[in-house]
Amino acid sequence: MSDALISVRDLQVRIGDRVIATVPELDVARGECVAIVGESGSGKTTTLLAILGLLEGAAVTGSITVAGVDVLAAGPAELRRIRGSTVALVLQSPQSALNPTMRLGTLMRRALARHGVKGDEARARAERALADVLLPPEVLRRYPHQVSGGQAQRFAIALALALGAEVLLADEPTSALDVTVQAEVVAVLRRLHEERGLAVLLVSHDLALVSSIADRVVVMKDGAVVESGPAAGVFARPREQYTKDLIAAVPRLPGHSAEVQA
Amino acid sequence: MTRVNGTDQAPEPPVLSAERVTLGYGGTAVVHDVSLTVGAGGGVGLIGESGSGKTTLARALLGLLRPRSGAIRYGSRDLAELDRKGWTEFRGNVQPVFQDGSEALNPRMTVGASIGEALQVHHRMDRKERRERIAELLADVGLDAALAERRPHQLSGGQRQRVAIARALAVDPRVLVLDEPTSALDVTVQARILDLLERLAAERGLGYLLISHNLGVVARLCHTAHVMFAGRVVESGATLDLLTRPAHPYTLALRDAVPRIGGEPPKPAGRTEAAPATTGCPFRLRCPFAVDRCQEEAPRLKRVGTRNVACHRAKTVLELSAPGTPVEARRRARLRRSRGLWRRRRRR
Repeated sequence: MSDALISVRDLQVRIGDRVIATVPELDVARGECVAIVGESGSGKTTTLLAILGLLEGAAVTGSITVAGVDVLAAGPAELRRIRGSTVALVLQSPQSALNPTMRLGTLMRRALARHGVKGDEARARAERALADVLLPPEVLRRYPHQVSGGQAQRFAIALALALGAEVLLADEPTSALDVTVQAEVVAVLRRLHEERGLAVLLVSHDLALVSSIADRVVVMKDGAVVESGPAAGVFARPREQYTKDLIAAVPRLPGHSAEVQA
Repeated sequence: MTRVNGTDQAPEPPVLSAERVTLGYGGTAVVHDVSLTVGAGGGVGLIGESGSGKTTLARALLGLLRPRSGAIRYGSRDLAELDRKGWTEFRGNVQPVFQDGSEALNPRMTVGASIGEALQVHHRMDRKERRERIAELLADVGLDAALAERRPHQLSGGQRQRVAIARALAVDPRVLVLDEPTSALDVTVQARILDLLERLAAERGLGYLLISHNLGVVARLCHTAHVMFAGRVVESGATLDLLTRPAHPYTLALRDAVPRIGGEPPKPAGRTEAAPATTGCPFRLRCPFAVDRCQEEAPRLKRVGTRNVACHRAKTVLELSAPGTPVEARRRARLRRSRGLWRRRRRR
């Protein structure tokens, strides 16, 4: 096996008779940023949830390996272990993912305790993780509604780092943020990616963002993979008409060139 | 009622205008001294981060919030002085479209009935005329007439938003106030709605105020744009000028943060967490160009070239912001170093 942290083969997700996502092949190696793009209903999020073993009530076939663990065969205890300490999920709206009745410090402490990290070690890890995402330690005293969207999102990333996650599954992590705040979150992600080799599997409908940060890209439509490859190639020379249409639909700023051959 | 502008044929006033309005909720003012106009046949963009007062201004322009000072005018009439009949006319000519189409639609009514209700109130059509007009409106926004029988929850987000636009257009307004109309939609659906708005401006002379955090959308639809920061307009002028050569550091930061296809990752410039300064220039704590003067004196909106800018360093920013100048490259390099980020170029 390669050093793939996530390896998906012949994944098929069905609900009843309906196939809602088919992914023949998807790998995320250490230190790599892979993006899944597509419109609503294309199966992006379904694929992400399947990787985490979070699709209950759906029939999932094929093989999904996360850091050597076979997700489809793993029991609940093993799944709980890899979620957080190996893969962490970052959602579009972190404020709704964080328990509103707990201070961020409590959330952090509980998450660490669940993975067996307590006391001084927990405190040290939390501090380091916050510094990594450029958050001041004071945020630990705040409740989720007392921090901005960008801060909450960086806290979610810090939570993942404190647990030692090696790969982030990020579902539209910056779609609800202002562009300026998005730039900050992206900068944090990229620095972690470059300095620590953090891998990211990014789900986004923002093609421009994906094109500027992803190493590889997978384009999905109606539950199927339409096109995939190195991001630079896919965006400069898309092979499929659907990819071309998607790229053409992105509104551009004056001065942004449309380097797409129709 | 309607004031007559004398006999010397003064130019027609814009459909909708804000004149030095200050707006607030409870004890706090959130929009300060903002003036802008929305005329027929095209878009005026309102750009800024969340919390900058864009939506508050939109609410005031829709007559939903009374200014603390200044005036909102419909034609030459102050909204504060409109009578019942005046309001009916206003509502028939100025229509809102919000981010989430489902907010504008009654969940218990079919969407056809929602559109029909507007027709009944403002145009008193009979049932057959209404049905035809509904089908026409749905076709205008690229929807099948059969969808008229559905209820909002039976439609996708994009379809709902298009219904909300069809409903706003039903009364044949002169101006739409669009608050993030496409930000919840997929790019291909968004592109279709932008096409529609462009067509309506060209064909029917529809005017609109477009609030969007997507600069690409504003660039496409709006000839004029206003950039708001902390409740104040900090820069306004022709959209193309503003985005190709920003004169305000905030406009520059917004523009440089927009990711581009095949481009570098978006660049952060200045910490967005810094609260607006209460003395001097409100943007100074986030501003890479700030000097002592910015701390002492709040800049006022001044004419610089073809635009209005509220910045002491506007001329410098303007010189530096042209894309591709070596100076610009140096400045960016300095910013990158000082933030300790972007140490490595993206791997190819």
